[in-house]
Amino acid sequence: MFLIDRRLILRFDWALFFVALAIVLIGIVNIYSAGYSLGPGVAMYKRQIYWLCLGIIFLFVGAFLDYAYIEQYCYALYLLTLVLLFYVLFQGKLVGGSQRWIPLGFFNLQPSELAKISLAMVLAKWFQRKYDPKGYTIRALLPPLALTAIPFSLIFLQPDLGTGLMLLAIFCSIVVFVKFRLTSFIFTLCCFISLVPFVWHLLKPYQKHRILGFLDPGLDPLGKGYQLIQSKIAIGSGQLWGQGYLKGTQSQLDFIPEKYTDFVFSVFCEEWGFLGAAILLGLYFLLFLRIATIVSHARDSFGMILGFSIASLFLWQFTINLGMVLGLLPIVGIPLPLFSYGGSSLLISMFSLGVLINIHIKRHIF
Amino acid sequence: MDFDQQITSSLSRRTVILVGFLFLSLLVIFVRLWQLQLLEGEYYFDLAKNNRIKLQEIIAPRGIIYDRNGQVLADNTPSFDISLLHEGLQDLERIIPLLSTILSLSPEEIRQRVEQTKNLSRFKPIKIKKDVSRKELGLIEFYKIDLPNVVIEVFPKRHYPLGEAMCHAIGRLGEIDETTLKNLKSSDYGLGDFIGKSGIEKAYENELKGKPGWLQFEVDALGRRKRVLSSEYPEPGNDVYLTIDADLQRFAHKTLGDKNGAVVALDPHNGEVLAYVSHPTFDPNLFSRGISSKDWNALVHSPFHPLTNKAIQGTYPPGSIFKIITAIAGLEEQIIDPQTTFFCHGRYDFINRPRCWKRGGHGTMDLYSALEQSCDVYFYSVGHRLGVDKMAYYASLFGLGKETGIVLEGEKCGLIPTTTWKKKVYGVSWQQGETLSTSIGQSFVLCTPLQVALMMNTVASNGTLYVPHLSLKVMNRAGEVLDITDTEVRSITSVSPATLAAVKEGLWRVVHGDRGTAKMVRISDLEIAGKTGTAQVIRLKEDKQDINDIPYQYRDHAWFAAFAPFTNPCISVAVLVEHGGFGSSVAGPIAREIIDYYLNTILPSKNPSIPKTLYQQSTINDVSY
Repeated sequence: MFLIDRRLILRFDWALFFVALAIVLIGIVNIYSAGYSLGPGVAMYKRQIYWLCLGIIFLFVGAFLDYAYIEQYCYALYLLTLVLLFYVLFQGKLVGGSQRWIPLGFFNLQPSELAKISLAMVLAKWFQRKYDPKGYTIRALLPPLALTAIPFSLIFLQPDLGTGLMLLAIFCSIVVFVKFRLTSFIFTLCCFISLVPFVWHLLKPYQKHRILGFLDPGLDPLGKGYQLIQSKIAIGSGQLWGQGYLKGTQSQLDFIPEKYTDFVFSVFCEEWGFLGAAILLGLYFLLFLRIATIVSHARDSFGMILGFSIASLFLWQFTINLGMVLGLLPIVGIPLPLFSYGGSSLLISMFSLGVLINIHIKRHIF
Repeated sequence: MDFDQQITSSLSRRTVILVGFLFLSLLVIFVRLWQLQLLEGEYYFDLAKNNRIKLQEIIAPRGIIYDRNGQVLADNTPSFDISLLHEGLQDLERIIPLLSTILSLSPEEIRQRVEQTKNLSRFKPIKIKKDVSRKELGLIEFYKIDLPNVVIEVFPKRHYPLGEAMCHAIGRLGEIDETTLKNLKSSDYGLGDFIGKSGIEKAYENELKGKPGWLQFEVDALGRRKRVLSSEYPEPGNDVYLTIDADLQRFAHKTLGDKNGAVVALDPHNGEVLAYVSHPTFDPNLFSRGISSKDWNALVHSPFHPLTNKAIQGTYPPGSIFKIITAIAGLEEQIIDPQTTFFCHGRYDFINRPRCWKRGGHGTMDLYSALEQSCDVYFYSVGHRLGVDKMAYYASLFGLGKETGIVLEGEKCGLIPTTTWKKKVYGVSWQQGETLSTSIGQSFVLCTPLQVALMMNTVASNGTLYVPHLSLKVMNRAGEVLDITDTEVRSITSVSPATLAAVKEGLWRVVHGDRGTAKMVRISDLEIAGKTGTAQVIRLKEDKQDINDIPYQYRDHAWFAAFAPFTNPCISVAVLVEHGGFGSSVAGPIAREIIDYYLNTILPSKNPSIPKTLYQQSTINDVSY
């Protein structure tokens, strides 16, 4: 099952590994600062270190597990995910008005994180099997759409709009990647636009508020737009050099909302300024370039489609998270991969990177 | 090349989408970061500072007002407000039943108050009830656990220990309004601050107010105070010492009782105001944290106008008290000497033959007996020979017809008629008959009680017209004297000592003479000189002997003005009782009580070394004329 081999160690993509590790370590340093004002009792950064250790193991599992097994068992994983999503919907831990976590004692499992990667896998498998070089029609896309719609609905009901949208983004990305017929694309677009008012009607008030708050943050500075304004103030006040480590008043005095998870980048920008942000973004740039190279050089079609869907998952999360903390996109709860606090997210991210490294290694074998 | 490789090679090219998207995404993010951090960085930096730094004003303790002996007339006590923090808004409905029971407010009232103020500031607690009682405060403390986010705020509150007994002179505070705020030059005031609205509180506002301090502190996102960044302590206001003697003030207030009118006591040595009463009164404590509309309406709509400061704002005909002026004018103009006599048969034979108050007539009168018995005919005779303008001149020497210059606001100047005045105002010339009534203090003559007291004070001080003053000195909290109010002499009359001595003897006889109109004012061992006055409100057609037959508003005003002891006067008093009837029977005893209390109780207790007899010595024989 595991392909351990001297060549494997040599072919292991150390560049990708160290860039990712650097991002996570900077993230931990940053989480330390975000939790600094709460005193030493609340040591979120310590837990993030445990997740990192566990995450490295996950990464190696992902890297050395023959992904033929993934191909083989991905539907099982997908079903497990659905079961967990069902479970969380009825039995989950209620946090902030939505049910997202399964308490496991030592940590709260977030099945929606698992849903991202398992969906990426089943979609990769489906498209690899039913590959159509001429492009897909809408009818042909109905099965994968159904595969996406089921976890999406369950997550949407939690309600967690952000993660739900991520699933749709994965689906769309793969469709674009494997070629979609232009006529079908236009038709879908029209359907989508006509659905918007209906979806708006289904949204919970707080989700509507977020979107309205995004459109006009000045509308209600103490309510809806508050998070966005505080985030922008934090980022802007960092200026070129930053306020200094542990000295960002916006984060130390709790003006930044969700400062460990969704808005962790605001904390970083406030304390490290434009230069710090540039270095961090540079690391992400290297990471994504490396991932793109791996995908484009994948040995087989399953590896390539899987690699692409994982890559798109990372890129979407990255873009949406930064877009939202910078006030360019509505605030939906999406963490910054590798950088935000959160066990489920970090473990899944590390495992996904492992799979990418796996695809890279596979290329050189046989 | 198998099928799978065909797929990979065609898809491989499409990974460009990924790279393209990456570049686009990073480009947008960098542009945005550049905009937020570099272009608008300073703006957001300032916003971050404003976010966390709050400025709180610390109200400066207002200066304390003392009486001449250091008794407190106005100080500050803590007052407690019940407020709700913004975090508590979501629990409001749950705590409303308990709150409304404790504070005796209806749930609707509480909701209304919260609605009105909740959007003002995220950090300012929402005021639910101002200035709660000790009992309410205790209950709030007791149920603290059931009332999360309900806080008690402390504010300084002006406290007047004498209450109604000392209101018009000391004045009151009031919330500053927007127009006043705009006109004030000082930046030390803000909307909602309290400012002196009348009396000493207003006149000495600049001394009393002090300088507010501030506290700059850092707050977190919930408005919780994290640490103090810098602060400036408030400078307490300066303390003002008044000339008022609190004991005498309280006594005068009590003695006047529920009669409407005014009492003013001055010190003939320097014009210091020893007591100052105007009735009806109000409780200045009601205004200290903002008066309720119920209390305000009660004060404003009272038919007796409690807010009016009658001692300086009420003008009344002085009646017979004005005969002092007529006598002095007659002597000085050598129309009479003290021995000149006129015969009174009950009427003065001129024009419409005005009557003397004593129907049967007084018989032959010289100056002394005319003052003693207040014979109208005698003074008609003198006034007739003087003419109104001469009398007006001497009236002015004794401070009538002009503001006395006391620091209190809204002082009326009264009226002393002259021929030119009448021509100017009415357009007709002066009538001889009006001269007659002027000479007994009727016709157009109007005086404030303070002016009458000041006139008597000027007689007592042998012609020195002082500016009556209320403040002795201003001291800061460290005990340094900043300002001593000097005795201010307005003028020293040219009236000869002999004239004054003659008039004074006449005034002595008013109290001590066998037929004196104020015999009941007599106190054993104390020599008092004074003059009664009865000011007609309207001329009644028939004589009514019983005052109770006359409707209240048509009854005459009763006056009594006096000074004592006769030699070395230490106090001069004017008492006015509105619609009190005959002067000597109503106003006289009040003045007597005040004089007695001051000379026999207060002064001896203050200077035990000085023998009591000094204030009582009878040296009438030394007076020469």
